[in-house]
Amino acid sequence: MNLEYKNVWVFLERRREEIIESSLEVLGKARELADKYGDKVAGVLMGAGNLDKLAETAITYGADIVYTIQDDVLQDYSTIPYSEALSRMIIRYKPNIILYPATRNGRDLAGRVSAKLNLGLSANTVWLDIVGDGVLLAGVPGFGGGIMAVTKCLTKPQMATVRPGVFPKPQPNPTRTGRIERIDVGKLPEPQVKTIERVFYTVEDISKAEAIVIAGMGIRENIEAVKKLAEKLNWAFGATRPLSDEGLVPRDIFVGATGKTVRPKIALIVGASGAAHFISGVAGAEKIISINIDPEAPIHSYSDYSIVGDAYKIIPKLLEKLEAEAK
Amino acid sequence: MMHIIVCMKVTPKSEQVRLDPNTKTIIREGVENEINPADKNALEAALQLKDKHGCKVTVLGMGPPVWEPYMKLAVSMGADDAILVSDKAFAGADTLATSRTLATAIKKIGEYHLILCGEESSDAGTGHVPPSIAEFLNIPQITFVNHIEIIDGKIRARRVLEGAYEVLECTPPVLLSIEYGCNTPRFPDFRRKRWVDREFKLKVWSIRDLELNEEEVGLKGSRSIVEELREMGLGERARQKITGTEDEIAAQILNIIRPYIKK
Ligand SMILES: Cc1cc2nc3c(=O)[nH]c(=O)nc-3n(C[C@H](O)[C@H](O)[C@H](O)COP(=O)(O)OP(=O)(O)OC[C@H]3O[C@@H](n4cnc5c(N)ncnc54)[C@H](O)[C@@H]3O)c2cc1C
Ligand SMILES: Nc1ncnc2c1ncn2[C@@H]1O[C@H](COP(=O)(O)O)[C@@H](O)[C@H]1O
Repeated sequence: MNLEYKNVWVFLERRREEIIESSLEVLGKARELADKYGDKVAGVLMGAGNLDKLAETAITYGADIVYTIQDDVLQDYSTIPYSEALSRMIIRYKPNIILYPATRNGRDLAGRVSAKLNLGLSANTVWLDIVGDGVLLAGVPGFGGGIMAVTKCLTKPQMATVRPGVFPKPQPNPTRTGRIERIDVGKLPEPQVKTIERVFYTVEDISKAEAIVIAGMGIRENIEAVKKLAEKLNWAFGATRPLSDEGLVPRDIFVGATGKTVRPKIALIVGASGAAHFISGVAGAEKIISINIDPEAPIHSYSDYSIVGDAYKIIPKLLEKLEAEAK
Repeated sequence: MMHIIVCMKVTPKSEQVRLDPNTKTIIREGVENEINPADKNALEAALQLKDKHGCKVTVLGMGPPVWEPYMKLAVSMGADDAILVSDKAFAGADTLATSRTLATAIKKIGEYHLILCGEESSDAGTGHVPPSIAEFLNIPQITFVNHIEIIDGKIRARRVLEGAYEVLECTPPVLLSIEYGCNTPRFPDFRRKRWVDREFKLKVWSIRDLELNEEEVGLKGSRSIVEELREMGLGERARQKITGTEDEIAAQILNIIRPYIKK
């Protein structure tokens, strides 16, 4: 084994006082990879306050070591101080692999570190494996997800961003032990970008839903009916990206390559054409029923049950029947 | 006057792309190209700033000569200048080699205030090129932006995250990556198009123009390689058709979904 580079690192992205779900998913995957070639998992956690509590959480999710870096400029994510701090850590400790959640911040950071240190980086990976004594193979979806490229980094550390919602979040084990190391990386540069406003909001996380109704542009004028249907069924409600781009539905409920990955038991898709960038987000559904007026729409071939018909007429009928049954 | 550089890529339409089942390579024949969708939004954002503040807009692409008509199309839409960085040595570049080449071209362009990229390309979909360019230029970045304003010479941008947004401000030069779908790209202007067809000369720069080494660009300059391509099989489904009157269809849907209805 090339001992110069060791350990699998995970960038533990924080959202206020919590480690985000997708970082925990990545931690689970990192554990699996490290176990496969006999290595350790280390989390990297940055922030302004005391990070011990979060570090302990990371240990219960699979980390052996958690490096914490505490500095006022690391209060909230900001490219320049975060990328500088992480790069200094990488140079000092030489990890074999660094995984980042492919969130917006994760990609913002990984792309910057890649150029800073001249390192290979695989993007938005949906599949990861180890061969030999620690060589990372990474599955990168292309063309919206229809094709996957298996990539390999030629430099160490090998880096990849990992698509949220693809790997399961591990079960925490409260009895796991690990060590927390507080690291001083020296004076960090200022962000150069000033925050005027930062607003957090919570929306229902559709990625865990067991059943979902998804609206597309084909039912743009009556999204309310689809929402009502979801409510009546007690299913999650999702949409295609253009509905969100037009501001007709919240941003965090669109499904697809750049949105949520869902893997429900059943998905009812109403008025969506079936573009690759959308389909890759629902491909993990056990059953798909779709309604589209156009017999040529690609969505039909991605469905277990497909209906060529007018959603504006079918959805109200469905609601009527549900209401009748409820009585 | 502010100078805005828009990094623009040309991509095949995703829905048309297939793998050759024998050679496991991408079938390029018969596949239509387009300006990368998010880059069209980036260009539109630049043109809106130009309309409002009178900026100069240059589009920059690194790709093969078949991109030329698309670079010109961007000029017909309203860009002032277009540069295609094109050389056989650039082929096979990963995000690192691509960013290095684009950053070098940007340095050669000289003075700039804003660099706009798309949030990600529709083929590779990495979103890693914009932050890498910013690092090579040693300038700040604001990624995933859906709204830009220029206030007293400063750039104010709204950055959209998962379950959050930020309004950030920065003194130029700065690189922004623009969200796909955040505006409606304009059509090419007919009169401008005639001018482009007759008089506009696209600049084409080779590796020598950029004074780069072959070791720094293309496949040789890459730090990640593709080992193999696999079809993801998104579409292996039963494809059972449900027909009838709307009432009958609704009844059949209800029968299928009934076991999944949660009380
Ligand atoms: C980089 C990039 C990332 C992207 N990421 C995503 C993503 O994450 N998620 C996503 O969804 N998209 C994404 N897209 C966009 C994607 O390519 C498609 O444009 C989008 O999915 C189309 O949405 P749609 O099916 O709702 O709309 P359309 O393609 O406009 O389809 C509407 C459909 O409704 C049908 N219809 C019309 N009237 C009726 C009726 N009365 N009854 C029934 N059906 C009707 C039509 O036949 C048509 O098929 C991305 C694109 C790019 C370039
Ligand atoms: N070859 C290229 N030429 C010009 N711009 C590019 C190129 N590759 C990537 N970009 C820019 O970087 C953005 C993100 O691309 P990517 O990182 O490949 O997803 C694109 O939307 C473009 O703005």
